[in-house]
Amino acid sequence: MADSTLLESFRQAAADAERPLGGRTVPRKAMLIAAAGIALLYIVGIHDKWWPSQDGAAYLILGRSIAAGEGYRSNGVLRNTFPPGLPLLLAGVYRLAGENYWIFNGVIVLCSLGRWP
Amino acid sequence: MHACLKRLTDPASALLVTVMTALGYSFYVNAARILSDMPMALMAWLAIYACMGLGGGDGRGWSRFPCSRGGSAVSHGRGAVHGGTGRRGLLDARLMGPWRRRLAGACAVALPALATVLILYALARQVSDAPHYESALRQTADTGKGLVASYLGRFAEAAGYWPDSMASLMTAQRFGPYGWLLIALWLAGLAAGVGRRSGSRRRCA
Repeated sequence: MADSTLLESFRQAAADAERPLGGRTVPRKAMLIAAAGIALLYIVGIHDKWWPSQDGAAYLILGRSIAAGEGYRSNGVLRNTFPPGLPLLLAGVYRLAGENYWIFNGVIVLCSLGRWP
Repeated sequence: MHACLKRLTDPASALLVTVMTALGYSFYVNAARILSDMPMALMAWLAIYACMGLGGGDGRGWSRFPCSRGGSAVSHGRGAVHGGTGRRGLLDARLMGPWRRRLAGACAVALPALATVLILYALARQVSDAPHYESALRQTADTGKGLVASYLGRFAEAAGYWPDSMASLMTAQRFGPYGWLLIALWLAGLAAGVGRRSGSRRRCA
């Protein structure tokens, strides 16, 4: 009896595996609730402080240096340790909003939110 | 991420994995820190999205996000890129053939990488110290392996990180065994897909 039940469950699993993917749809409302929930959670996490880290300090210093027109420098010395993408992004923020950590952290959160869709 | 997963799996699984990953500790904490992790993750998923959208299928049916059908800014922007009912987008199969789309995908990935390398090497000419990865490579080459062997060794080292990267990408946890499981599932799916395709060809013949 148990064997036949087990066999039946295997047959069902095999039939499920043969079924084409994409059949299970998600209601639009559920998608919107999930998207809004994640967005809200991340947005309320934006703060006006700098969370200290060695790499973070380097990115901020390089970004400030680019914004000030001093080149890709850290403490006056040219650096090639870090790729320039994030410093360039931060330099743009420096130019637009100055040293505003709400905006810096907001940009990172926007990048984070941008990956989920 | 959701659009890519939806293509790979089904809408319900894609939503579940996306939500659970978004709620993961590492992703949430790193979103509150000024680090390159989040911009890099965004770029990585955009690259995967571009490669999948450009490289396979007819290029349509992508990024069907839940937004209004009435013509919101998002849907207009999306339509401009992907096309839609009665209009042609930049990635539309009717405008670009498969090879052109592949070329565009390769350019989308390769150009930013090339620009970054050029900037780093331009900087390397100005400063006395080489980039970390280059100095590490030189150190390995100096141990007697030779430059080519060192390069190959680096590829092998990178391949060793693959399970960790897979696990980190999907679960925000660097847990190698889980990464191996993901890779095994992926390879099994690939093998099953190839088997099914060759089977259908045999039937056609």
